[in-house]
Amino acid sequence: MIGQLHPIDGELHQGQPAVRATLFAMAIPMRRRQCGGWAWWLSTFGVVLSCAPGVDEAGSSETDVPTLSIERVRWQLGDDPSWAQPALDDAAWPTADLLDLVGQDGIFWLRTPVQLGPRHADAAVPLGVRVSALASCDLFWDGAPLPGEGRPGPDRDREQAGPIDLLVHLPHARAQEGLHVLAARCSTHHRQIELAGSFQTLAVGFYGAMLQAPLAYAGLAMASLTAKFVAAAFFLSLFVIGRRDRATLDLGLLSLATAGLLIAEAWRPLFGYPYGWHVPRLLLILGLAWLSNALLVRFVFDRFPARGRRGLGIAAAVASMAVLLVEPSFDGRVALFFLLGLGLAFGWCIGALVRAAPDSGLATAGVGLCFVGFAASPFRFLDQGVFLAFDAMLMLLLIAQAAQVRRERDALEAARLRATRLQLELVKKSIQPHFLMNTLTALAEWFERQPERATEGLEALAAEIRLLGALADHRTVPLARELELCHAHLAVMGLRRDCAYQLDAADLDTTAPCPPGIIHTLVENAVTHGPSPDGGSADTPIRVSLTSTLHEGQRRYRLTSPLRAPADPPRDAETSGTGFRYVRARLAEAFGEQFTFQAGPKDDRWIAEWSIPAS
Amino acid sequence: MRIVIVEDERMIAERLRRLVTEIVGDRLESLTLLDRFSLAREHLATHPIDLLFLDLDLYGRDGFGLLEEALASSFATIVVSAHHDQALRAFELGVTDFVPKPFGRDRLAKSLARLETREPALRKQLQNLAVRTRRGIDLVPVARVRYLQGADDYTALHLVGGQRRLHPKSLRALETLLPSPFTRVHRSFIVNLARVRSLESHGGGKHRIILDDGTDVPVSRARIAALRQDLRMDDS
Repeated sequence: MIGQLHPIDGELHQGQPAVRATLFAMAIPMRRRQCGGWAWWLSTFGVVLSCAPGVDEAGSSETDVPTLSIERVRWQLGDDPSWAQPALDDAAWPTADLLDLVGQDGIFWLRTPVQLGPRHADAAVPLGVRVSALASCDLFWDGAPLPGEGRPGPDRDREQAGPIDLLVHLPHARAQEGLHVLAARCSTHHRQIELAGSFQTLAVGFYGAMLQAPLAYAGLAMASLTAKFVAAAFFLSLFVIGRRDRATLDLGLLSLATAGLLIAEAWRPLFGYPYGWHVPRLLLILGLAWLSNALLVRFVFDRFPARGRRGLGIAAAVASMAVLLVEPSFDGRVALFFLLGLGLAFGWCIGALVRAAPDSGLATAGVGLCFVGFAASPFRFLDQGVFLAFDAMLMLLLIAQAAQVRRERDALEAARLRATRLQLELVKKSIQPHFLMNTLTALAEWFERQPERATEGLEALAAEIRLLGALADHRTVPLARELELCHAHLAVMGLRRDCAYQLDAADLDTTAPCPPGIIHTLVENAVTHGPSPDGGSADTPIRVSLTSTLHEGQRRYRLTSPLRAPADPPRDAETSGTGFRYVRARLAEAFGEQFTFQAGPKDDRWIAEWSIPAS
Repeated sequence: MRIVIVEDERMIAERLRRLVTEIVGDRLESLTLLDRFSLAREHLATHPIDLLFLDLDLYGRDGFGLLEEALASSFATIVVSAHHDQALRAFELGVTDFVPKPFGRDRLAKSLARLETREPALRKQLQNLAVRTRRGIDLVPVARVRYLQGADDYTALHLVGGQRRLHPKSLRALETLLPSPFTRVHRSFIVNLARVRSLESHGGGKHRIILDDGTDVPVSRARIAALRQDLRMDDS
């Protein structure tokens, strides 16, 4: 039976993007075959969504030489040199689809007739034979051997593994118009695992097109590779020189992972390799595809934090495991990883967009571009568009990161300005007339009544002024120092009001960082809002208590104090506004946006609560 | 003498109480300490007093609202404050004195002595007179006052434009506060010299001042010489 001859897509000859042509020629046939149910569904989904036709049947161009892609062959296990002869009657040999041929444990032969037309016989058009297979092959044209690499053998030791892609020149003298026979003597002892098929392509066509197409793809791939390395260098150096947030690291690693994926993908057309390396390369591609998508998801989670990250992350990990178990083909798995990763990232970005998170528009556009490209035609996208789309996405994310850096820098500059004002504000507290003059007046009274108490008061005042000056220009100070300041202040206030204040602050980590003056300000506030002096004596002091708890990486503080009788409540805006602004500004200076602060009356207590990162 | 001290700092209030008690001695009829804005307002509304010591910063609140209310009353007000920069504003509103914190016995004694002897305030910087109206407290710029006419327990302020306002302070108390263009011309009248058009003699030693709106105000015989001098000086 004569094998059917089909011109492959024709794209090779039409000046169409070479990337598309090459990858299609090299990979698609096997992929379509190898994909399981999921992948088939994806593919169908893609075809439905895609408006662009996948195959162009027209075959004329400048060379007008159809590539003859062999789909069915006759084959026979065994080894006989006469099987190369065109006259051999091979009618008894079984026929098979080329893509269905699997590896064998001994030498086997393939035979197929090839009908060359008048264009093939044109001397100006050098012809070639291309074999892409996980096999070592000796090729014979009308019984005469063609040059090649690799050598089939009866066992692994005697087989010399051939290249994954073999392209040999067919001399013009032997390529006359008419019927010819192409035979291949093959062995597959270097295969590691049994794939769905060992043969991807067996074709006869214009040598130049078959030679150039992979290199054109490689050129584009290298341009994309450069972009990815630049992006990786940018994000990673940004991370190293100080912007130590996970989103930036994620982007750096994502750029590296996609660069790795690109190299792994491009290695075959660029450098080739013995077919024994094909499966390790597929495993590497699978791993890098998973890593790229995992990093993309982690980036959007880190960049636009919201509830449910942990649950979705675990679900995605479980789904990844399920993909490995359920989907048998490499390409199907890669496609499903992309579906999972891009889908989850895109959904998360839309959520951020709905919440009006800064830069979520850019991220949604970037991730959305990839997702829509993928959804429109999953396998074409993975073969042809993924790297360029990822470049576009990385560029948009880079702009988003730059916008964030700019915003943070502006905020930092504003914070620095505020910090200077804050320092001044804290130092001014000690010479504020209301504080200093009232204290001095009260001390004058104590000097005339009980000089020893006046001396105590002077010492406390001196300690408070000294500490205010010493702590002011620090961004944070150990909690112990801040508490020392508070104790000094309460001692001064106790003397001024002839009552006793007590700060309960046991069981606290006194080495924890605290922006200077914030607890002092809140304690001042507690005294102002607190009960009139009749409420506290040495036996029953007015108690201000500070507690701290750890919760989800945050250290929460709570300052509680009794509230004055509601007869004459102070106006918050007037009494607390400035103080709270100071507290917020100091917390922002020390911890950026990673803090919370609130204060107000609750029942008969005044409660101030704030949380800061625990480490 | 009936005195109220409004001060939220307990030791300072105690200090004021101790020193005032010592200085005023037997003449002290009552002395009340209050530490809250609301308590002070209630107390002043129901208890006639002679003197108020007022801290301008009560629990962090601006005491000027209370000060304006106090100054629209009959009693004298002495501000005791840590905010020395508020002195000018307080004097412009018509406080009798401004005692900066920290203070000693001597400073307080001087302030009380000035009040007792009715000697003019050291800094006659009064710019506005606080006047109670149905809407609340109005600050009337002293430049708008043509002349003041004393009645028994209050003083009528005659303003540019023909309006009249009543002030609960006595003419004598206001005299100690009003700045220099205001001159006592009669037992019952103080005139703003800046508003005088002419001085007319009516024979028999009787004189009248004609103001810029045509109003005439009697001048007592005892004060005519001093007035003539003031007007000349004013002209020069």
